[in-house]
Amino acid sequence: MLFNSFEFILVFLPIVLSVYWVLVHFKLFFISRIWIVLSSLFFYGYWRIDYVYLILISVITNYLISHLLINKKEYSYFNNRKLRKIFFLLGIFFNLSLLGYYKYFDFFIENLNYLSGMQLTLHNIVLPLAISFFTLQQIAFIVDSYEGIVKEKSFVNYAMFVTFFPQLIAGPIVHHKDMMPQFTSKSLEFIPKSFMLGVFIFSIGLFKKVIIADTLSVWADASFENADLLSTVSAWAASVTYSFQLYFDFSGYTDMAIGLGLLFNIRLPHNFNSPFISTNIIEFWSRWHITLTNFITTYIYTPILMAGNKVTFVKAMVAIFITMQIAGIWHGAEWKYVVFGFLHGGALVICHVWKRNIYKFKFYKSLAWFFTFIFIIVTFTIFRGEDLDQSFSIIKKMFFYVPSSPDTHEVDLINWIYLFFFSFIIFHKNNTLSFLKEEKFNLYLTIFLFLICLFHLNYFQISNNFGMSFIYFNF
Amino acid sequence: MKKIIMIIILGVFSVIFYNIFLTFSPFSLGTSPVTYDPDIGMWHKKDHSGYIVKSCYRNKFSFDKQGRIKNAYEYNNKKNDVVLLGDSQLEALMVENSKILHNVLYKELNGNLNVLNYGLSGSGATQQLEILKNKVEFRNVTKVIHLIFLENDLADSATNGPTGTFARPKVQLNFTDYENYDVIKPKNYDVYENLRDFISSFEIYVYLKKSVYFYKRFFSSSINKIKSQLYSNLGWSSKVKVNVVGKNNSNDFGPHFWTNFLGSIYQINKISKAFSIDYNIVFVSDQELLYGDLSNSRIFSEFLDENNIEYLNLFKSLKNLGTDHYLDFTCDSHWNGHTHNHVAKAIFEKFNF
Repeated sequence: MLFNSFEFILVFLPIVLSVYWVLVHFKLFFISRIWIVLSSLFFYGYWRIDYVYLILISVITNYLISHLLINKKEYSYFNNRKLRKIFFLLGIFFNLSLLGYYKYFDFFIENLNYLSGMQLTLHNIVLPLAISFFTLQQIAFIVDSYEGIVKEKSFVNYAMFVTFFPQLIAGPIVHHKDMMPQFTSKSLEFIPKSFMLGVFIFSIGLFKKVIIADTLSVWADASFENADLLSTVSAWAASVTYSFQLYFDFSGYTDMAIGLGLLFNIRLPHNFNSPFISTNIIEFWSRWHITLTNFITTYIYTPILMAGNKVTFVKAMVAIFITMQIAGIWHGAEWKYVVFGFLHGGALVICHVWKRNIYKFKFYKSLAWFFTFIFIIVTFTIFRGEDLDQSFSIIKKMFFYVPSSPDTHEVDLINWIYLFFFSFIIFHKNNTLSFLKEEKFNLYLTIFLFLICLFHLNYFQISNNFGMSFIYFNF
Repeated sequence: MKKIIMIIILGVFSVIFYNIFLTFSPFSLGTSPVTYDPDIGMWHKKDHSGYIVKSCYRNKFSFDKQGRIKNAYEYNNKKNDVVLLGDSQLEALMVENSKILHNVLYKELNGNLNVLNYGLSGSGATQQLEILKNKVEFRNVTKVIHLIFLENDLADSATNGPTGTFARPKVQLNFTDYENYDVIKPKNYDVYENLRDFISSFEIYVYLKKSVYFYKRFFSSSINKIKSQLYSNLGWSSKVKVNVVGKNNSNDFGPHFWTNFLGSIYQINKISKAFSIDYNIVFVSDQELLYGDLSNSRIFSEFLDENNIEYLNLFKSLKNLGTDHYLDFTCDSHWNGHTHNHVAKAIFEKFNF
């Protein structure tokens, strides 16, 4: 089920919300949490019912393993370090195998066939929705259980943490230490201000997705479909349009998720903070997909850095590079993501080296912003391309002049006008995060945004185009 | 109270904003292509362009200064004209302009004649007679080619007028016999039509129209489904009328339909003769094409033979074409560009120009 669909906004959400708050009102906290878990499973299964078993197996297995890792008194083997480590590795292996099979198995076979000339059959596995997200969250849980950080013992709370539908499909990647404390009965009270803020943030997200991202996607798709016919000007337009689309699509989704969380009085972490104003790639990753950055820093970068005895600058750079490779491939089993990770890893290393003042030359801030922005849209072109050939052909056209002619695919003037207007939102420091921090909502703006979105969702309905899916649903 | 007023203002403002968004976005639905006309009831807006959008097409259409479908060539008043009459199949808003029948036929004729497309959606033979009388300048015309979609045109010949929330007024003809008929003029340009013309110049009009059609169809089909399910569970299945695909259930045209329809053809032929214009008919019967039922096309062919009107029945041609290609768009029952091309060639081969 998509957040930007009538069935979600007009049927699913009102039912789930009202039952939930009625249960909370009657202090049936435990049942209210079960209700959320069941609703979330329905939400997940609405897409493909036969993958509900997968998420259930994943949740139950991870819970059992973490249960074995955190229970001190009940089990004597707690003090048996070897046995604990076996359980821990078993948990990590289980999660990685699940991800590996569903996400990377066909990619592996394809490359094996290519390299060895074998003809192994592909399994054509349909990627289960959200597998990358719920697997990451559970790996973190297993690691922290092993480290002794986790105290949570309730299965229902654990299931709610993983399956809570606002963040289930495409994040933000939530951490148990932020989420679990919110499931206590103290937090479960209806706060009108929080609820209204939720509606406001949800409306902003819906507007970003339905009106802005879906509009940009029409032009971006048309340009990428005609990649061979692009001129230099239209190649730049295609690249910038897609970069903006990706931002509005993903940050729109995140805003909706955060807004939905607030409707249940649960705060989800923010994921974006005006990333396009960054003046270097280190800053970019602290503003873009923040929860992924936090995850990979804590659970990939730090362990690599801490492995062995000595922490050196070179080792840190290697750790960054490896981490970004993993982050790249996490997005999908394709070479373009490997290249994306490679470029961002490389750029991060260069930025860190620069920061150490190896080079005395300092950029003007505007120039630094300019180069960072160009780098971001070039790498997003790789991210979007059907394959590396297509991406590189567009990038080549961006930097080696191809004149516009009647035979080239040119973008409409209106596309440029939209990009110009959307730049004001993109490059403005005030964003959803500011509204969240200040806890201010605007009732009239909420109604306005919500109405416009409903009109446009109806447009998709009547033109048999039942809402455009989110880009990050593919990951 | 203040809040309620603000919310109402917001509602209006969001409609205005959405209209602007639709107009200047890739989701443009276009404005209504027609406006009130005192003779026909509705006619294309002159010098107008717009978009027509469905899930399987998105096309820009254009009309010329007279409200005809725009030519892909330059009109030359030193050449003779071929006039095409027909309904939405000929109007073909959803087909790329250069692929519409009149432009393909122009090419087939090597540009020796101007081919003018007077197709109008929602019109039948009776309205097309009035289009010929009121819109066509006979000065250079040497040939009229009339595209008939038999069952559609028969249905449109009824004088009980248009129905439906958004139905535009239409001129109607009531024939007592082929020679005598009354013209039932479309209703006056009243406040409602004025208002409609005003609103229809905004995208939101087409949007609302599409929404009403969509939900009407959605709810009626849902209710039918539920009813038939319910009745069949109760063993009352016979109480629900369900249209069975493939079953002929639209062959019930009485004398009123036939007289009006054939009377219009008869009158067009009469006018053509008076101006020494060739009148040719190209027709297709859905009953024949889809169900092999020849009854309508036989009556019509006999009438055309009796009146010495040269005609082309597209049955064989379309049947052959339909084995290799889709005749229509996948989301819509209108001919696609390929079929237009094919029919233009068939017309070129059949008639003398």
